[in-house]
Amino acid sequence: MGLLDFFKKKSSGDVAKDRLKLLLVSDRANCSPEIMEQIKNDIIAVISKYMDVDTEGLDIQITSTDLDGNSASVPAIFANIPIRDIRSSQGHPSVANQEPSGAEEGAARKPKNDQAAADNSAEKSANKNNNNNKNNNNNNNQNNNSNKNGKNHSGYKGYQANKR
Amino acid sequence: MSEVIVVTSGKGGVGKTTTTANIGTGLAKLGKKVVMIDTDTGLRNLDVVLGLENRIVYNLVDVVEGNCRLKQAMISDKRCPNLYLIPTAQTRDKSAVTPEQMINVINEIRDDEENFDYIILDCPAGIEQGFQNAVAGAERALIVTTPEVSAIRDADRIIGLLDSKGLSGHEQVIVNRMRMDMVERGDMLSEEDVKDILQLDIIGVVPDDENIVVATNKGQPLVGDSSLAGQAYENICRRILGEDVPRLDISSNKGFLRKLSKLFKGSK
Repeated sequence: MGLLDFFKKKSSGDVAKDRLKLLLVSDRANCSPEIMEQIKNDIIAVISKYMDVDTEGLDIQITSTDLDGNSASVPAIFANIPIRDIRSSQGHPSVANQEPSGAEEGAARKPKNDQAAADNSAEKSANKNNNNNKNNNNNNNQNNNSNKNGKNHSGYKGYQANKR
Repeated sequence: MSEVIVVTSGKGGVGKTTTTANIGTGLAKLGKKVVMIDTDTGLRNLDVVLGLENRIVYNLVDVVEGNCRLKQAMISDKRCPNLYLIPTAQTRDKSAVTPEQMINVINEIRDDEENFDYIILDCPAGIEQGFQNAVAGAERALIVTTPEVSAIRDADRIIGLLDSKGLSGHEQVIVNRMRMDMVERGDMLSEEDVKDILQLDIIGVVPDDENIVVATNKGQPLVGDSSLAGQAYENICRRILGEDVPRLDISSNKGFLRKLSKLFKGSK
């Protein structure tokens, strides 16, 4: 490190390098914005079972992270999920309803979500109601998108094969 | 046995054709028998860069369509023995040749009694059929890029595609149009940066040199002459042959002021 480095702003070459590194990780991941949106919606759906998350402020992106003791960096999904309110899991109706039916996953998923949404809508907070509506929309999106699942899965396989 | 090298980049305008011309000519000047094939059907340019545009009679499409024999489409460069060019058609499109036909042409050159050492393929920009044709028979890839985000992004995409074609481990990068003055003040990605980002071996760095424009104007590749770019290309050719060539110092000026500023910035 030279003397002037302390006073210098980040040079455009460094900016280019940082931008490229981020860009290439998402390029290499072969992850389309639609898939990212689906991942985001799924994460919201899962976490909002346990706590009230800020769906607007949620940020998810693929970047790289350095492994400990290894100079090579690996791709990673970073999700920044602001929590509005951590509810106690015992008192939360959707958790209470879903835990017993955990065995019949997959097929029973859609009605379960509707049930959870219906339970949630009974809560008084207007804020939470808005949130649940959004979650409902997200769930609908998921269902719509599930038609394309075959395609998307093959996309993931392609990524696995092409990953360097 | 001839080695088949594809010169590719993804992005257009980074210097694939100039690089092909110089590497082909350079290898021939070093005593190897070289055939260059322009695979950029419809937008051929390797002939003009080499100054052979007036000697075209038959082309690659004629060969694959059976209008002529392979040898009839091979133009020999009179200034440089051992150097041949197979141009492509200018009035056709990329679908005029298929990857299978490309492989057949390459195999025919390989089986030729003249024993060519290198077959160098000038790949078109893009990742469509022209690219698929060019890489079909390749055993080694030289990826040309410039130290710019757009070119490097496309190069990375191309490297991914080359990997999936089984060329992984046979890819090397040429960084073209490097400006050391800009690198020194931190406004251009350095050779190390490019290596770090693409995670591939850099076989050579070619400086941004006006002599390239002059050479292209004349239709004479400058490889091996006294210009910085000419030396850089010769070094790349020697490295292709397996020689261990030290890095070329392509710094623009070595004056007192630069040394002074280098002292302050820390050594690079």
